[in-house]
Order: sequence, then C-alpha cells, then structure tokens
Amino acid sequence: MAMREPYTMFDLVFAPLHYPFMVRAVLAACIVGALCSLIGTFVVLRRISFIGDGIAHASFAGIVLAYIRGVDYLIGAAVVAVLAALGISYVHRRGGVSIDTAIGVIFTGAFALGVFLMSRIHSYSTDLEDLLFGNILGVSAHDLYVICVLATVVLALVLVLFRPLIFTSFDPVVAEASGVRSGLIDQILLVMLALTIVVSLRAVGIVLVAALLVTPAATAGLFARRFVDMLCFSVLIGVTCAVGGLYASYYLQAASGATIVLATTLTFGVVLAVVQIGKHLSLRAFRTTKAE
Amino acid sequence: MNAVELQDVTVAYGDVCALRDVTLQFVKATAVGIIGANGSGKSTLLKTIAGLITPARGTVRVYGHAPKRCAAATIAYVPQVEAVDWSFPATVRDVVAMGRFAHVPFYRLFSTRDYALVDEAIARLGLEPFQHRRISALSGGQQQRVFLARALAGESEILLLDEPTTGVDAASEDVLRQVVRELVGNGKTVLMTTHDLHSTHEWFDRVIVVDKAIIADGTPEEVTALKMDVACEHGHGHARTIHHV
Repeated sequence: MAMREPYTMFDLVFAPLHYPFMVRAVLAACIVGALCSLIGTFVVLRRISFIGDGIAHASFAGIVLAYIRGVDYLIGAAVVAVLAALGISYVHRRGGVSIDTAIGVIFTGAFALGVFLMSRIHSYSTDLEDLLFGNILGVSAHDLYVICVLATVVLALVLVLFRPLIFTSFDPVVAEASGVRSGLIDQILLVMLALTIVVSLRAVGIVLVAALLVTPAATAGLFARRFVDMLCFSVLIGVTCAVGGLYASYYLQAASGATIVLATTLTFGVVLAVVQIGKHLSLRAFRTTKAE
Repeated sequence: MNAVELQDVTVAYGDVCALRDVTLQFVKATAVGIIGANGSGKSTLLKTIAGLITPARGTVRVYGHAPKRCAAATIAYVPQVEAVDWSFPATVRDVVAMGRFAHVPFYRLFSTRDYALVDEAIARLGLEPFQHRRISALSGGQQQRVFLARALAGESEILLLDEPTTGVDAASEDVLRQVVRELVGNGKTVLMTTHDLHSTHEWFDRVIVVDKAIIADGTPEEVTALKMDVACEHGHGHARTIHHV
C-alpha cells in the first residue's frame, strides 16, 4: 500500500480507529455525550444540577461494594445511585428537609462509606481511580454492552414521558391539577438521572460527570428559544464535545474525562461570548435606528 | 348534579388552620367570585378543589368524584403568573399547546383538532400577534392571557382561576372577563379568586367572601350590600363575622 501523507484530517480522525479500544471509546463518547445532555436539559431547567453531582458521588459506595463482593461495578453503582436518588427525594419530601441539605447529607454519607470501605481494602485497584476521574479508553466490550442497554432504557422512558416531563418542568402544579402525577414523574426523572450517571462513570468519572450533565444544556439554553431546540442543540453539543474531547485527549495524551469536560466548558465560554456580542450589536443597531 | 361540592372541609398547614368547616355547592355553568384579603384562605380553597391540597377533614367532590380521580383535564387550575419561571424556553404557542397534553397519549402526535383548539384559544385571547414570541418577553397581562388560553385549549369543565386580574392592564382584564362569561355560556364552571370588589356583577353570578371560613355568600348585589363591612375588614385586618347573608 502506498504511503500517504500523514496528518490529513482523514488520518487524524480515522487512524486512531485501528485500535479496538478507540472504537469502543468513540461509541461510548457518542452515547454518553448524547444521554447526559438529553437528561441534562431537564436537570438544568428544573435547577437540580447538584442532585446529579450528589448521585454521582454517592454511587462510589456502590462501586467499592461491588468491587469487594466481586460483582460488576456497573450493577453496584446503579443500585446505589438509584437508592441515593430516591433517598434524597424521600428525605426532602417526607423529612421536611430542604433539597440541598438532603443532597448534602446523603451524598457525603455515601461517598464517605465508599472511601471508608476502600481504605480497608489492602489490594488497592487503579480501576477505582479510573472511575473517580474517568478513563474512556478503558471502556470494555462488556461496559459498552451495559451502556447500550441502560441508554436504551433511559431513551425509551424519555420518549414515553416526553410531554409530562416538559409540562412538569415548566409548571408542575398545573400539570398535577390536570391529572399528571408530578411526584411520580419527578421520581422517574431521578431514576433516569441515576442510570445516566452510571452509564457515564467510566467515561468522565464521578467527580466530573455533573459537568457533562449541566454544561451542554446550559450552553444550548443561552440561545435556544424553544424547549425542543434546546434539547437538540444540547445533544449536538454534548456529542461533539465528548467525541472532540476524546480525540483531543488521545493526541494530547491527557486524561480523557477532564479533556471532554474542558471541551464543554470552552464551548460554553465561546457561545456565551458570541451571544453577548450579538446582543450588544443588536442593541446598538436598535439605538442607531432610533436616533435616526 | 352539582359541578363541585365541598362538605365540612377543613384545611390546615401544620397546626395553622387555613379553612374551617367549609360546605359549598357550585352549580354547573356559573361564574363564582371568591373574595377575601391576603391570607384569607381563598387560594387554599381553589387548590383544595383542584386536588392539590388534601383537606384535613371533609370531602371534595367534582362531578361526584374526588378531584384526583376525575378524568384527565376535567379541572384546569390557572395559577398566578408568578408561579412559574418565565425564562423557560418556550413560545406562547408552546405553552398553550400544553393544555392539550392531557388529551394526547404519548404514542400519538397532535391531531388537526388539537392544533385547531390551540389556534382557537390563542385567537380568543388576542394572542395571535405574539404566538411565536418567547414567553420571557411578555407583559404581566399577556402572561395571564397565555395561562387562560392554555386552560381553554384543555377543554376543561371546571376552571379555577387564582387572581387573574392582579397586575393586569385594563385591556387584558376586559378580554379575561369576556372569556369568563363565554365559558359560562358554554356550560363551564368558573371559580375565580379576586380582591377586587368593583364590578363583581359584570363578572360573576355568585360571590363568596372568605376569611378562614365562608362569611358571606350570595349574588353580587347581595354581597355588594355588605361591601362596606368587607372593606372595613380589609382596611383594618380584623376578622368580623357577617351574620346576615
């Protein structure tokens, strides 16, 4: 085969795909980017982004427990994440405790349990570190399979509950009066959020997953006029940043989770600047026409 | 059958009693004004009928059923405009369309009829010029009209309006009043709280004065005769029982 010039755009994109781990990583980035930014849109509009952070930290206890028991870490994380999500909501609603306090108590408690258990394991594993900070290149075929199944479940739930989810995000009281069970929808959203976080743990890690939930949706929220636009742009930004960040981390030999999150932060900054400049220019144009 | 019935309803928030022993019947196709000072329990009364608050004692029946057991969208609750975040990314049309959500199952798209009802509601409240405008760019009166349009699109039998005239311009108020009268003409039941004591006869068939309990109940003319007493109450914040109704 004839040698080709290196460093064409084609090579930059496709050369790394010789490695099976890179193919899996790109697929995982697409799914995780899409799913986080999809659920993230609801999270941002309902202003519950700190619940995402709380659930992610709480799931650490599940990961360590699963490790000790020799069970798949995804199962441990999923069980504890769902329990933490419902626990936060229960303590908030029934205990008369404010939501940020409920998150603070449960997330730190569960995270501490994880650290406590980990400190007692003498055969310390670097795998746990991967889950804290994310290592998308370490996604196994089995991980990818579980990610696909969980992502399908979450996507199906979003499609079935799409209208109630929008209605309760905007106006839960009126939705409730018209016959929507707002409380139940909230719980289901929390379970979807927990599953989304579990799906994303390998890719971006416990500490950074909240960024992938919030930043793409927040970026889309800067300019989208309608909910559906915000959702679509959020997913587009999420996928682009996840895949772009993955490639950047590959070439820069940097941590993948952090690079993906930095890509979303950079996008947010650029969009914010463009929107502000646009507002400034249109205001000036408005003043000029008025003056004339 | 009465559209709405309350039997010995008592509502409490913690150990604070918001409404005590309220027994009321509302006949179908009437507009009822619920008048009272801030904190008199008039919004609580609406929320209880909507099924948003469960009474500590007593029963609420809407067409013979508990509010939560009514068919979807039997009841349309129209909150005060401050109740929602208007920076939500949606156009006027998007919000009015939410009124149809209860009628459209998840596996079905909006039908021609759904769209027609949305169009009709938008037109009825004079929102056509703004229908593609983002809701964050609306005035208070326009926001209130959007809320009522959403309720109209839902074809609900019972409409519960919480102070729709507060902070609304005169033009919007006229539109709201006409729509309320039309709804009643079409057989709907409208219950509406207000603290505006003027022109009640133009709005309502019946007026109820609330102060933790029902203290007056009658036609607008009958209650207007008591107006001075009620006004005094507003002025000084004293609870005064009116015996003659």
